[in-house]
Amino acid sequence: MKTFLLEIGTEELPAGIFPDVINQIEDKSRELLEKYRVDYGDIEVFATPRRLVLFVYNLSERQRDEIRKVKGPPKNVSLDNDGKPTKALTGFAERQGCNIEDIKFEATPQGEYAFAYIKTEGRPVKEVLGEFSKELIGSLEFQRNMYWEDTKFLFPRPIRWLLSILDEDLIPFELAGVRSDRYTYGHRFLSPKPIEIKSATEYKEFLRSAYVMFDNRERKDYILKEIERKASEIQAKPILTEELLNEVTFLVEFPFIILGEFSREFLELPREILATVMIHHQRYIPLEKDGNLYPGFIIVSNMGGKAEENIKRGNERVISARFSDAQFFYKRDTAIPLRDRIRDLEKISLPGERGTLRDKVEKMRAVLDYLIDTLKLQDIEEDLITALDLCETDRTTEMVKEFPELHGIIGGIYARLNEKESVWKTVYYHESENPPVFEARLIAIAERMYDIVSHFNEGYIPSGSQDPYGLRRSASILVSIIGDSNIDVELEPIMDILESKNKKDVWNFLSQRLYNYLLNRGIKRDLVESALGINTTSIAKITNTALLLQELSNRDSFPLFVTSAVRCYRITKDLKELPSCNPEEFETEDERILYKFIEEFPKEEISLLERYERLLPLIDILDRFFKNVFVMVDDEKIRNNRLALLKDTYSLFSPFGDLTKVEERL
Amino acid sequence: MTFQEVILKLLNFWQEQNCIITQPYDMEVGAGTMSPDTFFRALGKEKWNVAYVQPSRRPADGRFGENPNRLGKYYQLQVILKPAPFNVQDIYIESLKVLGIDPLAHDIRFVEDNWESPTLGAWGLGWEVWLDGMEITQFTYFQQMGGLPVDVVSAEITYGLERIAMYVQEKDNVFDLLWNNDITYGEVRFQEEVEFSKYALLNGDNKTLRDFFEDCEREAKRLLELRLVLPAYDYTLKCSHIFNLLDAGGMLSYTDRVSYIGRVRMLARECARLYLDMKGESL
Repeated sequence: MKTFLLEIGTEELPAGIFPDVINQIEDKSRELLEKYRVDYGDIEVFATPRRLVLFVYNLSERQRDEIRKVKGPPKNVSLDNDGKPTKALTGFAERQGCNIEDIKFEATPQGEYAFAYIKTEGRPVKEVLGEFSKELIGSLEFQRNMYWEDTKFLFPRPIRWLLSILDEDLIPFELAGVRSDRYTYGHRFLSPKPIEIKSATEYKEFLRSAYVMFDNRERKDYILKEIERKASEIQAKPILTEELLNEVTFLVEFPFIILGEFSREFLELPREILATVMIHHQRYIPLEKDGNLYPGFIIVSNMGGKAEENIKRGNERVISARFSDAQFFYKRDTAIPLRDRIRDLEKISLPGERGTLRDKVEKMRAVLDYLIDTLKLQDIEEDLITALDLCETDRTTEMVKEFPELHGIIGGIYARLNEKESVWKTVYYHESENPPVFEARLIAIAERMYDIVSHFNEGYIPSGSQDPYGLRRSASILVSIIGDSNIDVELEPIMDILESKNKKDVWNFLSQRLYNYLLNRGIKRDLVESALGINTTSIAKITNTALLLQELSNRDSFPLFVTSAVRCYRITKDLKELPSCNPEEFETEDERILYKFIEEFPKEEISLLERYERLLPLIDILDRFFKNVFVMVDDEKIRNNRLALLKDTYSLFSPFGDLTKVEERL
Repeated sequence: MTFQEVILKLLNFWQEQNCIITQPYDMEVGAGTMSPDTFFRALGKEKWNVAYVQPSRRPADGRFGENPNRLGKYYQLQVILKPAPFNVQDIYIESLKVLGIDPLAHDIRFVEDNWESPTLGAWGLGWEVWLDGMEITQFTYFQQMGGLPVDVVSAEITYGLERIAMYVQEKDNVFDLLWNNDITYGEVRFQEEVEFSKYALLNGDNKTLRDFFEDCEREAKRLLELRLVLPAYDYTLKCSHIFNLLDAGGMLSYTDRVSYIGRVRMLARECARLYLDMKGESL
């Protein structure tokens, strides 16, 4: 059993391609090994910024033989009256390169045909791995590619070496002007010389001694552990997200964890600003001590040891220059309160036909008025409108010009200086993915609806990978804000307020996000599809229906409930106009029982759960009805009367959505 | 190491790498990339290795000399290697050694940063190079210039000279940099920063600038008609700078901005096409 090693050596790859590329290499290797008919035991993939590494273990010596079946002429053309092969058959055999004896006749729906069984003997695996490697590297998909040499091969950054060996044997191939070889390179600075790898099994050990922690999981664990250890030395806690940990893992090959410090005077700046500078601009890990930001940070460096003192000092100087800038902005910005900035919104114009930021705020105001009215929120109206007037004003500050990703948060921080809590918190959280404040959710609904509708009006409708304004993300946030907080409003009137020119497209777009949202909440696909069939544009209504269906679907009565509804639906779905049901024309007792049930069913709004329970007797009633009453009688009048009765019955089920979707999967 | 020594040592290093050393382009440009020594030479198939210092004007970044890290004009040292050598990163690291930066004593990293110039219709992929967390160089493999995909990929290395000198001299304020041993960066440039900030941020004249843009655009088009590509490009650069002044003065609405960028890009694209056409490498 053999081990295959492929290492793609590159210039520093963008951290953003990880970990996706690792999964791609694994999945595509499995696909291709299958395609190349190679048996293997296990696969491992590792990555650093400068290398993508694939190990395939326990490879078979040879490809599996392949037997291909080729259809030839029909039997009556293949053999003459004496049962001897005709020209047609010998010609076919010749073209396929097989003997007449290898041809068999088999029955097909079109009659008997000749079939040639052609065996291709598997080649030694060694001979196919070069092709495999080229195809694998070429099949990887990335957001942004570049070319850098004559063949114009596309990859995120230049490929500089290819190491490709099967046990001790070099697997030769050429790609992007690079010929595969048995050399690798260690850490860029700590081990710059080429290293010859004689056998796939010695690679890992060599690389470790060349200061490359090639196993990304090991590297990540090590970084996390060392960060925590370093922080605990000063009794602090790291502020670390999975995203940041991932990013720093793919910015180094051999991590050194270094503690840096900054002057306490910068702690006067809001912690959000300090954290953004540290995380997004410098990829440092901020620290927290006793609930407060600690005047220090952790650097995940690619160099250390004797260099540590320089690295610490250099990074400390960089961060204090950046913080000084922020301090400068903070002083200038806070000299003008946000309320005085409202008038400046008129000076900031928006793309297309959208006018200025002031116009946008006015549009959002109209949406909020609708929300206040529908949800009866008059008691919070005043603060909500104050917050709305302020929520875009931070766009005129230097801080937001410098750190656009902090829009909203900066507004909140500045508002905190002069406004009461319910106002500043609303401003602070209105851009958040998951605003903890109810008022901020309302503004988020208004703003995200405004964004989606105005872009759709201008023809920017996301398709495929084209979504330059991030509308999908915005819509997902909108859906989850409404769904999570159960704010029951119809969105169609909001589209009208925003003068949507394509309400159907907007709703389809939102339904797509809602579909994914409900799946993510663990609701079964068919139940989600059913709930989306309700005639509404209220995300909360659909969500509640889906949740209830999920609960009901565990009951024993559920399958019969669904089939009963669907029977009524199927038989009546193609009928456009029916006269209403006339009880005078009933001929059977079962019709009358059904009619009576419908007549007595509550007309006022009842909860969905109550509706379900009250509809349960229908299962038996309908069962008897269909057993005893023949609906499709020749007499048109009677037939239509019965169909009208069933249509009325079905309408009792309509608040559950499109139950045919559920029935299909029962 | 003084500011001028940083420049001289780097130029000397690149001279030894067979680069021609040219002088700054004598017009207002926003970056070394805009010099014809880069813009045109990145097009076509010929080899081209060049290094030069380019004073670069960014009117919107002016801070009246009050901010220790920001300037409305600063110096870039620009290197173009075409085709990009196989070991271009290694050569770049060697260049840092002449500044006394020992890679074993620092954390030098290549962090993804993709470059795009909407006015030049140009983009490339590459990195910002970090020295102990500070960005000291922009490193780009050109993919497109003047709206045209490049035939042969150039590596562009752009050193931020003030940043590097501040690091080497351990200064926290750019104006305290020693230009030579007797005179500081502030003594040479402070007044210029103050006055040009006052001009660009507070005193630009909307009408004059807009008219000026129109004139330069018209002239560029006229010269393109006459197939005088280099003069036409000069007027394109003028347009680009006037646009920057209008932008810095807050005189442009969003739509204005988009439209001005589009107009400059159109001129840049026409220049690139004409240049290739005249070289007989037409598309």
